[in-house]
Amino acid sequence: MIQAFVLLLVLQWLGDLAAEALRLPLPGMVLGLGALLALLALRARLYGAAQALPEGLGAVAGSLHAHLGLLFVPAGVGILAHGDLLAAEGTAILAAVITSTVIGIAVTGAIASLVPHSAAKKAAP
Amino acid sequence: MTPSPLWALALTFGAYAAAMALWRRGARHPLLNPTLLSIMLIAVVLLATGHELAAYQRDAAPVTLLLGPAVVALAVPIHRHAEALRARAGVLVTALAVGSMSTIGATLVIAALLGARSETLLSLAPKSATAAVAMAVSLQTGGVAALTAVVAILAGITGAVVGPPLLDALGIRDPLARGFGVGLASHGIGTARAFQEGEATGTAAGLAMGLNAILTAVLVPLLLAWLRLPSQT
Repeated sequence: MIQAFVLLLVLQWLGDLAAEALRLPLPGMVLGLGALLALLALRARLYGAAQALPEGLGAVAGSLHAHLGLLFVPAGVGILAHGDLLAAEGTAILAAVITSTVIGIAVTGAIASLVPHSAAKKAAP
Repeated sequence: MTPSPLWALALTFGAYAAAMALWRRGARHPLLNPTLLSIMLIAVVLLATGHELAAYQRDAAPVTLLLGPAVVALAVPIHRHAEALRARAGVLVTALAVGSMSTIGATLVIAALLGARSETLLSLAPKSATAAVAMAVSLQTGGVAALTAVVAILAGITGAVVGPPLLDALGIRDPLARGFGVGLASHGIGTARAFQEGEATGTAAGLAMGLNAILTAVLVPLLLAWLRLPSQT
């Protein structure tokens, strides 16, 4: 489990280095995600689908994602520092953020639920 | 008086534990979103005890730091569901492109119409990407990163609260589509909510969050340059 956590940290760090070296406008963690996805696909090909995940990685990923909401809490408390801006432009900010989020979910969800017939048949168990 | 840095971690985990308990006891009502409740609890404690926000955020930084490995680890559920996702790749890529552009566009249009300053617009534009990515984009384009973090979390909470009932009302029941919509617009906080509906929903949300982090990082600077919004420096 510790090894799996080290793997995640190293991939993020390598992602940061690559983003800086290549001057990509992408955060290292996103490149790290891509690198891990490639690594898992490679392992699935080499060792078979059942052995694709390094030991403990599933457990580490599971516990991080089970409490993903916790990881945003300290940044969210930062709202305390922006009282004056929220007082001045709070209505515009709230309306823009809430409305655009609702539009984003509705548009994306509606398009994503259009299942092509061929895919629907393939995906059926 | 310099309290041990542990107090910030204890406060964060304690507030989250209390928020989770409240949320479970409150029949998992969307408005009792654990992230929202935790933020409110901690804000009240900081204001009531006179602790400095900067000291709290410095000492609680390890929690925020874990967002990096958590984003990298999204590869695990995406890999597990690769086949189902690949079967729908065309539809999902279309949903990603149209969804991402309409969210960013709607944000800018509504905020501009309601009189937000251009610095605020720059800070709002990347808000649907996960907080860490949104802040990086905001810094790059001349926004206020701290404001971006706050509005990204607001977008996350909005999606977690409004997303599932909205999708119900629209008759969208497919787990992949539900997760994809919530993850795209509401990143990790929406993804946390989506995982509560099941692993397939959560995975689709995580994939949408990862892809939209990439797309937002590419689209927002281009769009702002086209609108001549970035600072002149």
